[in-house]
Amino acid sequence: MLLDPPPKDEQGSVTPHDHRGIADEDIVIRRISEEQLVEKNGRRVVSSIAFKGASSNGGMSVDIEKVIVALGHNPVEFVTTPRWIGSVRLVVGELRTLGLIVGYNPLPDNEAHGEVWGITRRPTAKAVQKAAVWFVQIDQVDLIST
Amino acid sequence: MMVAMIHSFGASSRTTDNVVSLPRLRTRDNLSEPVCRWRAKVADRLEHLVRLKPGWDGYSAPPVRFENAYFALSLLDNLLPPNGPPPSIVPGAAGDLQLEWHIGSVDIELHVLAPNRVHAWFCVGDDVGQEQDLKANFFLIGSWIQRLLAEVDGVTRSSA
Repeated sequence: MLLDPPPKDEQGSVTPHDHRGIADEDIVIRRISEEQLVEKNGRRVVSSIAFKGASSNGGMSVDIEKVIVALGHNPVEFVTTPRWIGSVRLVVGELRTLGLIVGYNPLPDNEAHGEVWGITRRPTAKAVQKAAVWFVQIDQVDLIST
Repeated sequence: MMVAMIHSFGASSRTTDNVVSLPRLRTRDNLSEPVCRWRAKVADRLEHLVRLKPGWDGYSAPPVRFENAYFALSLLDNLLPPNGPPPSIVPGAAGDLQLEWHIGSVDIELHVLAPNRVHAWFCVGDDVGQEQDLKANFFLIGSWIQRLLAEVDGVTRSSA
């Protein structure tokens, strides 16, 4: 494993944690589905829901760029395979500045999978959205409304 | 079967015109309800969302839960007038969904976490907006919709 194993509960599920193997300067990538685009004043914009955590454990899924690279993959290809047309990059340190924690949660089909925990309210989701930068841009879509 | 029910479930007489002649009245009365212009589009979108393949977001998101889709449609049936603008409807990562309107300077987002669990946000202009967690009383959303309709009216007039 490229990073230390994450903490788990009695059922074997990863618990929210701030992984010390993920540095502040590291980059995480968040895939953006076309299903999460909305229209605002004639422009297509990414919805705030794309930056909210899942209500199951509250985490927002991401891919940890350095793990992708360590696995020998091209990050751009990794996050657009088979067909995830857009993605954004986030600096881990900026997420932690927002009071969020960034952890590691490898999955059988995605060893680079991580999660960002703590996005419980819309203002936080919008702050994450503002901190995001296109990694693979969706054509003619604004990341945030202007 | 469940998916096909979104269109038919709760279908009201809004889409049916009934012309009735009442013998006791001297005039002919038309009993008709306004055609709901947004319902078919909304129902189509909700059916699409409940059919999403697991992992549609590139990770492990399930499709929108049917009960959330049905609740959202019921909410709109009760709050959005027949001639109102349909919302954008987007899926969340845990079977949830969000209804959104962004028209002119008015923004409304209704995050349906579960039936009768809505995280609602309303904003006009550059204001930071107001948030409410709503569980039983959604009357507040009605006042927001009225503000939205006024904005639609203003946008329509300015573009005419």
